[in-house]
Amino acid sequence: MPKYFDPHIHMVSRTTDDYQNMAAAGITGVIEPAFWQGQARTSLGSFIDYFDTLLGWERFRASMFGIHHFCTIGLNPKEANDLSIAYEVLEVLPRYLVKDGVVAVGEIGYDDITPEEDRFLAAQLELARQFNLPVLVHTPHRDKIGGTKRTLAVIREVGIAEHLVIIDHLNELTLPLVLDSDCWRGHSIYPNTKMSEQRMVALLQQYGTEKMVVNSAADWGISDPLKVPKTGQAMLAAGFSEAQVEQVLFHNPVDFFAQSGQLDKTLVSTPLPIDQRRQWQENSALRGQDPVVK
Amino acid sequence: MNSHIASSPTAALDMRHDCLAERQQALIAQLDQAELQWWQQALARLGQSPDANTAALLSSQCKRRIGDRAMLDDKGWSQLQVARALLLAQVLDQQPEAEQLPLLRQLFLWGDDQEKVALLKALDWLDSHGSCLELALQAGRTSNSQVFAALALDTLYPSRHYPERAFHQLVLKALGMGLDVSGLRGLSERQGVALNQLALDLLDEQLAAARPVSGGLYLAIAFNLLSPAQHQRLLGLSRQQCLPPGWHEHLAGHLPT
Repeated sequence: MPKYFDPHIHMVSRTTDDYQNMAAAGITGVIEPAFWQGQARTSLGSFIDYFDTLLGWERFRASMFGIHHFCTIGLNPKEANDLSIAYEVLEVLPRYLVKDGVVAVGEIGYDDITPEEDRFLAAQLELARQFNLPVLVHTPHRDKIGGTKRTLAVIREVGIAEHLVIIDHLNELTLPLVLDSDCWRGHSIYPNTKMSEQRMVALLQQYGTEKMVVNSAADWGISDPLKVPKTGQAMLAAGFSEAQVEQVLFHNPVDFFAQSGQLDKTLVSTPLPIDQRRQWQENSALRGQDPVVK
Repeated sequence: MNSHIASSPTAALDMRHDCLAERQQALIAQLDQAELQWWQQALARLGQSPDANTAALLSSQCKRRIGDRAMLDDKGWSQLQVARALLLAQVLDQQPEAEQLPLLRQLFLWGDDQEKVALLKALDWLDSHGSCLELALQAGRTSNSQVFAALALDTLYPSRHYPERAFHQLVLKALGMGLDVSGLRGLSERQGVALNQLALDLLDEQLAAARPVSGGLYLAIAFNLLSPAQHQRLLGLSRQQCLPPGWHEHLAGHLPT
């Protein structure tokens, strides 16, 4: 079975069953980008508690099932429009960007493509440059082509090295725009609204595997945390070799985020040892089950 | 406390009192006796304590005290929504001018999604000058299609007050949510070359993904402003039956010169 790594998944919204299934499907590690919560937050404290959860409880929960957990920290584009909070969030970001296991700034980018989103995208790209961190950039659902072009323009204006940027949620129309840059190319395999496994395979057949990255972007919506291994199956069925599958679905994402210096490729090549006797702040993911140790 | 809605210069809300009075009459005419009694007591109580807490409390109590029947003269509204909108209007009317907009923002933040729906549906009555534009834009970032529909459909507020770019985003989001954009008032006046391009980009995305083309997408397009190349391409897609029924008629009716 090939090794898999899901570089964009919102595990706080998922169940322990998902972790078990992901581990059984060969996923050794995940990256959880900070994003919005389905509704707007009304205070800085909500952001701080969320960031702390990504660094604390969620990483512990993943470890209970043998999965390496990393995260990206940033102010998402939707909430960049709320200036009464956005500036405060921007102020606390530096102290999170240097924490262990924070592998990038993200997910940042455009939603409505407003001047406020422009401002906070540029400011956070600048932060990434200062901290020498990779950046995960979300592309918008509406005016996706315009938003992707503008994203590339802002990246060039700020002057961050393009090889440190991954532009996510690409599709048939926006991937060619990014291929002209040195940025990495992210694709979310998500039921109905983003890409399907078959469309992803077609893109890989047309454009090759270099800097191509695939994720599930699974969250609290109707989504599938096994989309990375399912894409692997679709690639194998289409005639890609196991080495090519691992290139796209393990090595590429790991190599990109390893540029942070926070992700050790050797370490994530094998699952974490499991010891469910451990606790996090005297809390456990177990509910009366016998702890697994292996 | 953090207000959450980006602040803008404080201005008095210029309400459409004629519309509100008409709604009040229509509501009273169809309430039963128990509902009417509670409604009159509620208005009196709000008159004595015209503050955010009282307004929020009465707005919540409305749900249990006033039935959620459709308005007889306008099926797009329920009695409950009208009652909540009228409570908002009364409490705003009783504020000093400078306090009106902050209070409306506060009540928006405190409201649950159904209360937000009532506020947004009534926004064009509560704010005829567009002073609440920032609040409307923030409200439009919701993922709740009911709340978004209250802001976008069957109201003139966006077409009266939204800048072009924001209006285009509103159209695209309504299409993305699968809403019936024939209810987007003022859409035809906002059509143009820029919206054409956005609509055609969305069409290309949907075709590339082998998804159904949004039913109302053609309503966003000014067919007479399509370039010859755009027009030709759409005709080709129509002949290949890649477009829903109805497109061909529009294309045939607007041949480029």
